[in-house]
Amino acid sequence: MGAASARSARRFEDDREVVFGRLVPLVIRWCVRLGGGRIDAEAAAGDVMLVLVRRWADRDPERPVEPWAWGVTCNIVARHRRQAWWRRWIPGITGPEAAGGGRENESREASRLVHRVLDELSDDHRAILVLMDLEERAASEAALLLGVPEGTARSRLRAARQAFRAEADRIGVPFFDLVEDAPDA
Amino acid sequence: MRDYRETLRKARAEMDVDEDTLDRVHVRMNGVRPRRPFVAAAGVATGLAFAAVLLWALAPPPRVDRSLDGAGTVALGDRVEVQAGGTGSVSGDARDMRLRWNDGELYVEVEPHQGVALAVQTEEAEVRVVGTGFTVVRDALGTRVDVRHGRVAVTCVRGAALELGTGEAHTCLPTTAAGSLGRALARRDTADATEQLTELDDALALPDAVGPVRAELRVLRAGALLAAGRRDEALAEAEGTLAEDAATRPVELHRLAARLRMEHDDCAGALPHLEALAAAGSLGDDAAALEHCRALVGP
Repeated sequence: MGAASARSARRFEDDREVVFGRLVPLVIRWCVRLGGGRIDAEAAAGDVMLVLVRRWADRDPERPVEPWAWGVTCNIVARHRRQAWWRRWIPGITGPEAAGGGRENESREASRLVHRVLDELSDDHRAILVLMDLEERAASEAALLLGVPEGTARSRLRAARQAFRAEADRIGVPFFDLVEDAPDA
Repeated sequence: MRDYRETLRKARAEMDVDEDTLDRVHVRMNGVRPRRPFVAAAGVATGLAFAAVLLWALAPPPRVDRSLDGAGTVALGDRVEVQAGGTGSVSGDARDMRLRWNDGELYVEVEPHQGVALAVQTEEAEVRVVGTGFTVVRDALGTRVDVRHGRVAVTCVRGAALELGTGEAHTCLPTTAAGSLGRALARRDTADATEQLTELDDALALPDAVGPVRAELRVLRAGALLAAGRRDEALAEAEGTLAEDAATRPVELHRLAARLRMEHDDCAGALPHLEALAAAGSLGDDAAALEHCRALVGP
């Protein structure tokens, strides 16, 4: 095997490690958190991974993979959310949330509440809350993923928290501890 | 009232990913039914199928190396089409290719937003593009780039890099003194004198502007100076060129110098040029001037 073939083989193994070791869990979490209870997060994650694998050779290898994967995930989740919204009006078809049921515990109850509030927020607010409050990423990291300046990420987080509080108040579940400061880079 | 951070912490735990979920998503990517724990062979097959899909997706794109000499319309991979009316070659693969273009017209069409990196290189220029349509013409005038749609980045070997948009064009000048001479000769009757002088000055500053090529460039420069109305400078250029060992076209230069001298009634200055024309048997209409100056200055 020549040096070029060996390099190519190593590259493949490196890429495979990135795809399966890091991206798949990340994408599933993003789909669950962005999609809420209405979409089938696993189906959405499968769709995202198919897009990523198909376009893997086209991506710019000099750029980090995560912002690209985040962008694809947002688009796919938005499509699933639209489909779920239409599905509500078709008799006999229910979304994953309605079909779920089962044992209720504190975590699940908190998850349902957070999803219920996030579902009513704008895409920008939902995204920044998922990245910075649910995933506890630094503002610099969230800014990189969203493709916005760090200052914009911080101000968007403040606005998103206010929107979250307003929506929680509206559905009768007020919060008392909505911290104002974004985590440091 | 609820604690925001505590609620999120609990929700986060609920939203995390477990191994079963990971397995199910892997299976979805393969488009096969979920494996059953007791069917080990199915698991192996799934793994192999998945590896095959990934290997296909990550496989290097096909090579496109070939000659383009008089090739006509050619597809380079599935995203690029060229019409080659001249000589050149292409190397690289379907995603990242480099075309070396020697002469003639090359028509390029790249499908936009498909991640194809393409560069056309001539002796005078390099044109880089991702998704556009453009034409490269290499001839005696240099390399001309015409953009039909999209944007391209052009880097001239002589001159600055620039970006061209739809409908814009740019010509990269020849990189050698001989090439510049060819361009100047091709444009002698059509180019603006001032513009031509600028190009000739640049060409004379090139390191290979020596010998007959340099002398020929200076002949053209003397003519351009005359056309621009800078008669004294034209005279100096003509006489300076004649003083060089490798002077070409002496008859034209002597005639130009003699007539410019005579404009100032400078028979002493004109006489050597008139005598040289007489010695070459090319006196023609200047015979009367020679007689006049000989009478005035002496043989």
